[in-house]
Amino acid sequence: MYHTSTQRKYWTFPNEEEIAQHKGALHNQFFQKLKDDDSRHIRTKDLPSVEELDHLCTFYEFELMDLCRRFDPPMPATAAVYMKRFYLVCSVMDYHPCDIMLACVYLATKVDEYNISIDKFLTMVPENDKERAKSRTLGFELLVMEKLKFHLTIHCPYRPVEGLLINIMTVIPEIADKIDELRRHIDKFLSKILYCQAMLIYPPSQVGEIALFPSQIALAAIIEAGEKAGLDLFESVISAVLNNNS
Amino acid sequence: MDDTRAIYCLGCKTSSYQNPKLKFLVNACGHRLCDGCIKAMFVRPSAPCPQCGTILKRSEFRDHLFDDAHVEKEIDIRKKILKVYNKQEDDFKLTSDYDDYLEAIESIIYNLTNGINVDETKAKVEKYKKDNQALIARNRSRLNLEQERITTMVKTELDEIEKKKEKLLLEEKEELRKRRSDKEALLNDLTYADAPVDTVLANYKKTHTEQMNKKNLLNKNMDEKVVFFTTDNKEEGYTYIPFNEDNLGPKAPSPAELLKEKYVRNVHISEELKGGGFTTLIVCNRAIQEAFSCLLD
Repeated sequence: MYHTSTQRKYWTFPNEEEIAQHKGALHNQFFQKLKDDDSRHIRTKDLPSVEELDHLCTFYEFELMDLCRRFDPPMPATAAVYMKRFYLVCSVMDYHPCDIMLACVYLATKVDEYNISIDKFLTMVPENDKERAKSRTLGFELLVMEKLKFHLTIHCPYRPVEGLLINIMTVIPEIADKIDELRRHIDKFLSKILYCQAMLIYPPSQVGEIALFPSQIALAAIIEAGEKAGLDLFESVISAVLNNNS
Repeated sequence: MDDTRAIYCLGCKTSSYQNPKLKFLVNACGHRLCDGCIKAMFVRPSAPCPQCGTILKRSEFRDHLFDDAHVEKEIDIRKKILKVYNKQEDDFKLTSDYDDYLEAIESIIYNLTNGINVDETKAKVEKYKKDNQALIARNRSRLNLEQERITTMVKTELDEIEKKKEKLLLEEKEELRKRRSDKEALLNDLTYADAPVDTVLANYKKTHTEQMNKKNLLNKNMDEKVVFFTTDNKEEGYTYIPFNEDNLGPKAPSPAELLKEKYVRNVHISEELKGGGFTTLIVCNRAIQEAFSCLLD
């Protein structure tokens, strides 16, 4: 259950600024370490900026999504969240996102019970030097786990979506024949979600703020999908969900 | 044959392997002696142990329980000490005091068993014995009473079981006899009665099932009457408080509601999953729970 999870307790932040601050502090820490090292003579303008590092990280996040799509069934959410969390704890300058990406995906295959051997895993990886990729993947796997504080359960919006759809279909049976179209839009919305920070953000509980818990992302996905399909689901969905409490 | 598991008498070195019927006894020091040796050595009421030289009394020999002499010795000492240190939990105002008392007993036993400060400890026990004479005597009689009560309780229970057995046996006999007579009656009916065969059989069946039902009812009543061993302790038991978790969202329907309101109708799972023991209810319940968790926070 999400409300008792480590995800809620340790890995959600009130807003994007806080995440940015967190990352900035990590980078500064690393740069300070370099500057303090007198033997290197590093000038500030030689160093990449926080934004540049962020771009690098984002690039590899896209790579990660591409890699995950090669699997059947694709399972990008867990790996993507691992990577996002990892770079909240470690600087991009310390560990190359390319290695971490592989380790995250390999770890996610295990957590998502998608059984695969390391050799089979490497056949999916677009990398020429398989041996090198193998040693790096296995080498970083434990490190990633440790940096994630072994909080490996990721609550994704997929199951809440199912739950809400079941609920809606039960309360409003007429909707059943539109479900397939809805699902298509929902899938699109959820894969877009993974490219942003949504899975790390904690909504302040004020009315009118965007809500971003897995269940809330799911709700948003359904309503958004409803709009795309030309249905105004908002009223009916809300009433369906609150039905039990009235 | 050198079997290390075989135990042997320290007097004559006869092992249980050579003579399986050999009876071993132990005394305060925990060393084993066989029946014959004891008879031979303890012509007088006391003699030294052939292994450790402790002076032993003939009257204090008891059955051998454990292979380890150390354990035997410890049990012996414990028995003696507990006769003196026999305070009960309700003699103390605080639980922590009682715990300290128990710990003190353990350290005394440990010291005596392992030969640490033996004289000092013995003196301490003697002093305690003198200081608390009245209390020890009171507790002893109290423990005796308790023991007696338990013995009578066990006895009544055993009696009851015995009675029940007898009753069952009688009933069984009775039933057998009845069945036989019933069968005869049926045969007679079939041979001589004017009614068609079907009605006769139907009648027979009807009375038969009625009787069975009655018997089952009787048995049920009897089972309820049986009292199992209970102490009279009227302490309040554990009351179950259902775990009410706040899921920070709307209240999710319970599994029973999921079934009743036909939520599960909208869940489809593959045959493979069903083979693995998953039911639509499990899948449905999990999805619903997750969907409602933190939805309104």
